[in-house]
Order: sequence, then structure tokens, then C-alpha cells
Amino acid sequence: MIRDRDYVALFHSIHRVLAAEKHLKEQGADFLLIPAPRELSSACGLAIRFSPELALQIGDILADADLQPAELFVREGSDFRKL
Amino acid sequence: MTIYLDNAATSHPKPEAIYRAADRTLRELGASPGRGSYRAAIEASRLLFETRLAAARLFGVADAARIVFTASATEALNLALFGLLNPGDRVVTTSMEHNAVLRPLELLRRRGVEIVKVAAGTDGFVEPADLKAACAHRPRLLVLSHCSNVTGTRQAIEELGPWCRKQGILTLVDGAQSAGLFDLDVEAMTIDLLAVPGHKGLFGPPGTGLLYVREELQIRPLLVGGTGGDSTSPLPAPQLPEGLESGTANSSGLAGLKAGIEFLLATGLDTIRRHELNLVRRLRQELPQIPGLRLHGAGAMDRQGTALSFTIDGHDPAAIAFLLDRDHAIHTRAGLHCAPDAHRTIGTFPQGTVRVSPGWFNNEQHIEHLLTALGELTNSHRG
Repeated sequence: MIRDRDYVALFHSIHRVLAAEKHLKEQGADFLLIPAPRELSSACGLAIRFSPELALQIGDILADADLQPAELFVREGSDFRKL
Repeated sequence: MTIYLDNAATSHPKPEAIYRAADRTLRELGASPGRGSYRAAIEASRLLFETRLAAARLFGVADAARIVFTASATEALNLALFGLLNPGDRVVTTSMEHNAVLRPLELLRRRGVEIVKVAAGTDGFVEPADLKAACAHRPRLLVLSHCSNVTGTRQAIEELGPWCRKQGILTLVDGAQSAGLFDLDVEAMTIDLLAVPGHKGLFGPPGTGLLYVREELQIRPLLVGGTGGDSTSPLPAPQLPEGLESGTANSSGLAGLKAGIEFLLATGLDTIRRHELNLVRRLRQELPQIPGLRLHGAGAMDRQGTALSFTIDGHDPAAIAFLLDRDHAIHTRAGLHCAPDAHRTIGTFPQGTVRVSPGWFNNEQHIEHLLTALGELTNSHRG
């Protein structure tokens, strides 16, 4: 579900993660709504996953809508590194 | 055929889409919003999210996260009042309020909150100048209903909201009788907190309501418990809307509410308002023709909502409502309508009034039936 180097964005709010999903869909971005990985504490149980080459584009779309993630991680091997 | 004229209590019937949405959600969706990451649970979460977006659109709210779902306008008012006020705070309110405001304020008064009540005229209207004078001592909050549930009188929120903002006074508006009828744009009217029932003008099922909380305004929750996430934290995270929405959401009710708001937006508030107020205008013209009948409404149509009261000399309001129901299958509501101060204000305490409140599904024939029935009733009792 999460490949090496994938980004995982947490929003700590079911409302915000669904707002982010709606906004990214409207902008035609390529991402996936996934259950938050157990290793990462998430207040809402859901996360948004996207590939590293889209990180800049997705970051801009979310920032423009004032929907910055509460936390952002990158998958490195079997770990997640917080950005 | 029964004629339902008690839409101020709850709107009935509902547009067909409301029944279908509630039934489909209860029957087919079956998952709890925010609980679980399987597709149906996410779908249930999306339903709440979209209902919030629809409500935000209706009330001019920029960030839908500031809309908190409650079981009723009563809960929304309790949440706002108990969540905001502390001993030593001062609150200004009016003599036209419903017990959903009066009773929480009475409990708060006993805990050291100072309450100042400003009297309305016998037409139910509170002069903005009187409210401003009562606000001279800089209260924390002004709380008032937009429209009275007894007389239908609409208060001058459009003037009071911006004035209070300039004075640094918060405003809590009880939109129980105006939401879905009059424009309630929280930005344009500078409303800080807006309490709304889902089951009246918004056509949702009972058990639905909402509170709008202005950005950066932090209030305490009325209930705490499961929020579906962050389970290790001793208290829910304070962010809205989740921080004020503990417990399983009323998904089927909210699905109905979403359908109701979509019906309103598609039909247009102005169309609904024109239809309902035309019926009220006819009542205001014709009811006073009945011998001994006294109308208890706003001073003029431009301040009139869809609730309207009357009394008939020598007749108990309860008996009038009983006979209208038994002999004519017309549903009206007699008594004090949970607003004793309002009846003291308009001079109808303690016997109360008969209240008539037409809705979207009423028509001119219903009004004619009511007028004929009242004519017969007063004649037969006189003879």
C-alpha cells in the first residue's frame, strides 16, 4: 500500500482529511486515501498517500486551500521519517 | 384530510428526497462516520463532510469545519452558552426568548453569570436602541432569537450584529424560526454563534441541528467521549468540528438534513419565503375579521416570520385548538409555546395563544379552511 519513498500526510481531523481529498480530486491530483499506518499516530485514522515526484504539486494545492497536513512523513525502507 | 399548521414546532411533511436519503442511509450505509477505515465507514464520514459543506453554503460560512452537528437547536444553544460563559460574565438577552435560551441562562445565573433582559414591545420587536443601551456595560454576549416562535417577529440582527462586533460583544443567534426562511449569512450579519434546528425550516428529520462557531472562537464541549480517533488522549482534541462532536453521529438524520438543505438551495429561499409569507399575509388580513379575535404578530409584514398567534375573547386557546383538531382536522398549537416571557410581553400570559405556522406544503385552501372553521367555531359558541 505504501511504497518506498512514498509520502504520507496526516491531518488529525476527519473533516480536514476529507476536505483535502475533495480538493485534490477537484485538482486532478494522483493520490490515495488510506488508513493511517499503525506506526504513525493519527487522530482520525485516515491518511493521504502520494508519490515523491508529486510532493511539490500536492503540497502547493493543499497550501493554496489552507489544508496543510498536520504531519508529513516519507517512507524509508520499513520506517517513516518525519518531514 | 388533515391540515398541518404547526411548522414552527417541526416541518411536516418533508420533501420526498429527505425520506429517501434517511432510509437509504439507515438501510444500506450502516457504518459509523469516523469509526473505521473501510469503504463504508469512509463513505459515512463523507456524508457528514458533505452535509457540513451544504450547511456552510446555506449560512455563508467560509470554513465548514466551524459547523458542529447537534441533536437540536436546544443542544446547540446549550453548547454555545455553557461552552462560552463563566461566572462574572454579563449577558444581554430579550423578553422574547424560548426556554432553550431562558433555562440555560437561568442555570448560568445561579452560577454567577449576570443576565440582563431587554423588553420587547407588544408586537414582539425589541428596539435596537434599547438593546444597545443595555449593552453599555460591555456584556460578553448578546443572545437573541432571529424570529419569535410566538409572534413570528423578526429582530434587527442585520443592525445588531455589526454593531456588537464593533463593540467587542459576541452575538449568539437562535435561528430556530428563521433558518430556511430568511437569509442568515453569518459573515454579512456578523454573527459569532448561530444555533439552528435541522427539522424545521431545513426540512431534516428530528434529532438534527447545528451550531456555527466563528473562527478562532474556542468553546468548551458539552459532551466528551469517543470521537473515533486519537483514542489515547485523555480529552478530545479541541479542533472543530470533532472536538465538539463526541459520540456516534446521527448519520441517517444528517443524510436527511443534507437532502433538506439541497432542496432549499435548489428551490431558493426567496421562493419558499414568498410562498409561506403570502399565506401569513392572508392570515394577517383575514383573521382580524373574526369577531373578538386578537392577532399577536409583528407590527408589519416586513418584520413578520411564519409563526403567528391569536386569541379570541371569551375562548380558551386550548379549547380552540382542540375543536380545530377534533371537528376540522386542523393542527395548531395552543398554550405558552415554551416561551413564557414572550407571552408576558404580549399580554397573553398565562393562558397563552393559538399559534398558526404555515409551511412550504400548505396552500391557500388550507388557510381558507382554517378561517371558515374559526368562523363556525366562534358562531356556534356564541349561539
